[in-house]
Amino acid sequence: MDFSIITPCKSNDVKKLTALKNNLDQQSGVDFEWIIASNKTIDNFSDASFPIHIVNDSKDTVGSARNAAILNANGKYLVFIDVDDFLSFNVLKQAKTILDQNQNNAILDLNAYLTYEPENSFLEAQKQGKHYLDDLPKWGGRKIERPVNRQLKFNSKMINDLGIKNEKYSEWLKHPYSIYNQKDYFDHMKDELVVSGKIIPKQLFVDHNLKFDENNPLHSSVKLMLQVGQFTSHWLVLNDYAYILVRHNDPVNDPSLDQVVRPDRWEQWINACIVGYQSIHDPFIQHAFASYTIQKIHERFYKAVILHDSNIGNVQNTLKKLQNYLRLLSNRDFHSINILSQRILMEVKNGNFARAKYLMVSLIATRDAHKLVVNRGRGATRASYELLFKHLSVNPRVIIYESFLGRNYSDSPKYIYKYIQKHYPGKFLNVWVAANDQIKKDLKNEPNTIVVNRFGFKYMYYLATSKYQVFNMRQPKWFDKKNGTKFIETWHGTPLKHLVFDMDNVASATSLYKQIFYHQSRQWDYLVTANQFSANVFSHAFMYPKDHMLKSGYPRNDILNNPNRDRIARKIKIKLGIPLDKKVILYAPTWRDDQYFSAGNYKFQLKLDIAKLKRALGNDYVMVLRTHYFITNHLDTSSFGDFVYNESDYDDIAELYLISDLLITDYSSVFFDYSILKRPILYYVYDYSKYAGVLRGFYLNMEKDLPGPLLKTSDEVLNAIQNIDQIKDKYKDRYHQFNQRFSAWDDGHATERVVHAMLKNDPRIQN
Amino acid sequence: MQFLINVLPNNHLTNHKLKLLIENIAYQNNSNVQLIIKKSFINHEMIDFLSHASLKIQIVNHYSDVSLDKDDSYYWINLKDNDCLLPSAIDQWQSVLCRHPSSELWLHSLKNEKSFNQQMNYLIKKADHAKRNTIQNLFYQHVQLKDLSLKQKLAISFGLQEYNILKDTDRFDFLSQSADMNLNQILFKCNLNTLQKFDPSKFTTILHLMLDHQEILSLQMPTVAISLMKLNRQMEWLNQVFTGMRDIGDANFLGSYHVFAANQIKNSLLILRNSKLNRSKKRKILDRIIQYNQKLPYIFRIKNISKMAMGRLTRFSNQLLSKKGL
Repeated sequence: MDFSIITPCKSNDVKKLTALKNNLDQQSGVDFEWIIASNKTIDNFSDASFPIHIVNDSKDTVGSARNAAILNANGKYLVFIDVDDFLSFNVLKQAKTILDQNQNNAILDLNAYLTYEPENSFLEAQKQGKHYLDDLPKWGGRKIERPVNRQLKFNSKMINDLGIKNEKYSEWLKHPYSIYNQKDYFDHMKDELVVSGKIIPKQLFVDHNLKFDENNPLHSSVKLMLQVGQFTSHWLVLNDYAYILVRHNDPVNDPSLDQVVRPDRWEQWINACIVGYQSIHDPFIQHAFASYTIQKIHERFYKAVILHDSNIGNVQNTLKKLQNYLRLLSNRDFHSINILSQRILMEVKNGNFARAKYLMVSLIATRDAHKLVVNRGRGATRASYELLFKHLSVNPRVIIYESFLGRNYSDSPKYIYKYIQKHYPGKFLNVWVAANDQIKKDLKNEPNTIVVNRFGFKYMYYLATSKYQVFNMRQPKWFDKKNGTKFIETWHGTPLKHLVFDMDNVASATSLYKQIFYHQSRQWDYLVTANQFSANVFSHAFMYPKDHMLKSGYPRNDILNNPNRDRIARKIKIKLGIPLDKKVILYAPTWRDDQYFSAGNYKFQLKLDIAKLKRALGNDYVMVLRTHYFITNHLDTSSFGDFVYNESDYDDIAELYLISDLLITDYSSVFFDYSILKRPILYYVYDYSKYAGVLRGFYLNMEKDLPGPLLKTSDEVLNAIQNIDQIKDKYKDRYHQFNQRFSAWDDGHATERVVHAMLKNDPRIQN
Repeated sequence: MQFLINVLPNNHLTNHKLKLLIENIAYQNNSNVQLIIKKSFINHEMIDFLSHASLKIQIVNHYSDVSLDKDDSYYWINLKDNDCLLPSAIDQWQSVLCRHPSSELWLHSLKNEKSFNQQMNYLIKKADHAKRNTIQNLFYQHVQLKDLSLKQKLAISFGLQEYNILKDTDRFDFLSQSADMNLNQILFKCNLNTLQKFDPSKFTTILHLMLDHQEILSLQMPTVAISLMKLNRQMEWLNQVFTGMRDIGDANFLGSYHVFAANQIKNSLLILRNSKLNRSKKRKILDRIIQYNQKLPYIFRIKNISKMAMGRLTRFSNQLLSKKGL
C-alpha cells in the first residue's frame, strides 16, 4: 500500500466527505486507502475504488482523531487531507514518483493553494474532466502572498525533443519540485506547522513515536511538525499547487477550526508553543520556532489584549501562560522585534502585566501613528473615531441618514427624513451623509439639516454620537454601535437574487463578506421589509430575527400611492425636459456579477438595440435609461438624440417610475416597486441561461412568477411594446397575484409606520 | 492550436536569412506552425525556394488573405528575419496556452547582440533560488551553474520556466515594467475577424486585445532570441506605440502606458546613438523622437534626450541645442 490518506471528520462535516471521495476517485495509478477518523456513524461508500476505513477516536479532538487513524494505517506514506480540502488531479502518482526517488525520511509538501471558492473553476473543471486546464480558483490568502507564477509542465514529447541526456533531469522536468534543507525550510516558518497537504513517511512516526497533541483542540500539529522537522533531512515541495486548501466563507454557520471564536484561542496557541518548544532539541529549529512565535505575538497579540478580543477570555491567565512560554526562550530569540516590543515581553516575562499592557497601548498607538504618516494622513478621520469620538456621549437629538453609501438623497431614508421634518420640526438635528456635492445642493436650505462628507471628521463625529442611524445599505464594518442608540436598516429592495447566507460564493465581493455581514446585521435594531416575502427571505438570507423586522412596506414607495402622483409626474417630466405628449419607457438593467475590472468595479455593455426602438417608436415614445449604480462607466447615449434620456445619475428612481408608462428591466429588483403602479413590465433577458445558472440563484421562478414576458431579443421587445395592450391582458391575472404577494403592505403609509417604530420611546416626541 | 509566425524583415530579406529562419522553425519539430510572408517582401527565387520548404507557408498579398480554419485556434507572432526560436519554444507556448488559454502571451527573450552565456547566467541567478538550488543539488553537484555550457544552461532554463498570469490592472503594470518589450515578443490570439479588422503586424492590434481582455500571460524564461531593430523599423515601432496611445481611455492603463512609451523612446535613442548615420541624419531622427517625447506628460518625458542620443556634446552643439530650448 503506497498511501494512507488520513482525514479527521467531525459530525458537522460528514456531508463534505462525498465531495472529497469524488475527488479521491480521480487519483489513479497508485495504491491507497482512505482512513476517516470520526465519532459519527458514516455510511460506507460502497462504490469506492479504494478501501475506506472509519476509525473512532477517544478524545474527540483533531489530534486524537489523527492518532487513531495512524494506528490503523497500512500505507508507506501518510497523506493528511482535511475533509473540506481537495487534491489536484493525479497528484498521488506524481508524489509516489518523487518520494521513491528521494531519501526515506523526506517529507513532501503538496503546495497548498488557499481559496474560498473551490466551486469556481477547480471543481467545475474536475466535473467536466478538464484536468489539463489551469483550474485554480480565486486566491483566498493574503493579497501580498498571491501566487503569480505557475510552473510550466513538460510532457514526454517535449522532453524527447529537447534531447536532454540526463534522465534524472528529464524525469524531474515532468514532475518538478524543489528541495529544501532544514535551514531553508524553517527560515520561513508558517505553513510548515500545518500538517494538511503534507505527505510524511509512516516509518518516521514509528521510529520516533510521533504523535499529534491530543490535548490541544486547536493546534494539535505544532508539536508533531516540529519533531518531524528534527528528524527530516529534506523537505520536498511541489512547484505547482496540488493541494486546494479551502477556507470557509461562512464562518457563522460553518466555521473552520481556525475561525471558531473561542475565549481560550490564544491560550491554546501559547500552550501549543510551550509543548512544541519543549519537544525539540535542535537549537536551530528551536530558534526558528521561537522567532516565528515572537513575531506573531508582536504582530497580533498586543492588539488582541488591548481591544479585548473575543479570542482572549481571561487576559491575566493568558499573560501568565505567555510568561511561562517566554521563560523558556533565550534573549536572542527576541532580537527580531523592535525594542519597545522586547520591553513588553520582558515585562510579561517578569510578571509585570500591568506595565506590559501600558506599553502595549504605546506600541499600538505608535504603530497607528506610523501608518498615518506612511499613508500621508489617510486614515486620520477613522483614527479620530476610534480614539476620540466613539468615547463621547450620545446626542439624543441627532439622526444620521445615509442612502446608497452617500451617493444619493433618495430611497427610504429620504422619505423618513421628510416625514420627520414635516411632523417633528425642530426636534432633531438631521445629518445627511454625502459622497458628492449633489446632496449638499439638494438640501442646501433645509432647516435643522447638515450634510457631512462621508468618512470625514464630521461624519465620524456624528456617526459616533448620533442617537438614530437610518441607512439603506450596510454601515461601515468598524462602526461601534452604542447602547441606547437605534439603527434602522431600511434595505433597498425586495430580494430577487440569493443574498448572503443563501449564496455559495460571490464572484466579485470579498471573501469575508458573510462574516462581516453577520456582524453588521447584529447591529440593526430594525430591518424594514417591503412584504411578507422579503421578511421570510431575510430571516434565512441574513439570519435576522423576524421579531426585529418592521413589516411596514417601503417608505420610498409611498410616493407611488400618492393621490397627487400624476401631478408630481408632470412636474418631473417638465424638470427633465421630457415631452408631455410622449409615452415614456423606463429601461433599468442591472449589473452582471462576472463583468468587472477589479473587486467592486463593474462594467456593462448595452445590448438592447435602442436605435431600432427609436426608428420604430420614436414618434410616440421616449426612453429613460437608468443603469445600476454598480456600473461606474457611464454609457454614452448621445447618438440616440432626443429619444433617450440618460438618467442614470438621477437621485430618486421612484420619481422615474412615476413618469414612465412601461418598464423594461432584467434581473433588477426595480420591478417589485414598479408593480405598485400596475403598469406593464417587460423583461429583456438576453443572457438568461448563462446568468441564472452560473452566477447567483434566484428566489423567484422567472418563468412562472413574473408579471411580464421574458424577451430574449430586441425584436421581441419591440414587438411587445407595439402590442402592449395584448401583453397587459395576457398577464393580468399573474400581475394581480404578484401585487398580492409583493405590494400588499404598500398603502402609502409605510413611512409613518417606520417613523413611529423608530421614535417609539423617544422622550422628545412624547413630550 | 496553430502558431502563425509572420516574417517581418528587419532590413532586406535574403535567401540565406529566410533559409536559416525556416530551418530554425523546422527544428522545433512541431507541426502546428505556419510561416506567413507578405509577397512584397520576397522575390521569385524565394517563392520557388519556399514552395519546397518543409514547413507550411502562406505567401499573401494582405494579411486578410491568410487562410484560417474556423474550427481551430490560432496564435500569431511577428518575428524579424534575424530573430530565432530557442529550443522547444513552440512546445512551451503550446503547453502554457493549452493549460491556460488566454488572448496574449508575452515572451521573454535573449538579445542576439549580447553574449547568450552572460544573459543566461543573469537569468539563472535571478530565478527562484529554491528551484535553482534544487537543480544544482540534484543534477550538477560538482559544478557551478555558471560554468556549464550554453546548451546545459538552456536546459536548466526549462526547469526554471514559469508563466505569470496578469489580470486586471496587473497587466498594465507589467507593460510599464517591460522596458525592452517589443512587437516580436508577443504572441496573440487571432481569428478571421482579427485579420479582417486589424493589421496583425502592428502593435495597435496587440494593444486592442490587451484592452479588451482581462488577462495576459507572460513567460519568465526566454523562448526567442531577437535582434535589435534597424533604425527605420524602430521608428516605425515608436510611431505605432504613440499611435496606440491615442486609443487608451482608461486612466489606470494610460499611466502605465506612458512609462512604457518612455522606455521605447530610450530604446530608440540607444539605437540611434549606436547607428552609423552621420550627424545631420541623426539630428533629423532625433527631432522626430523629441516630438514623440513631447507627447508624453511632463513627468514621464525623458530628460537630456539629446545627450542620450548624440553622446557627449561639444560646446557648439550645446549652444545650438540650448537655443532650441533643449
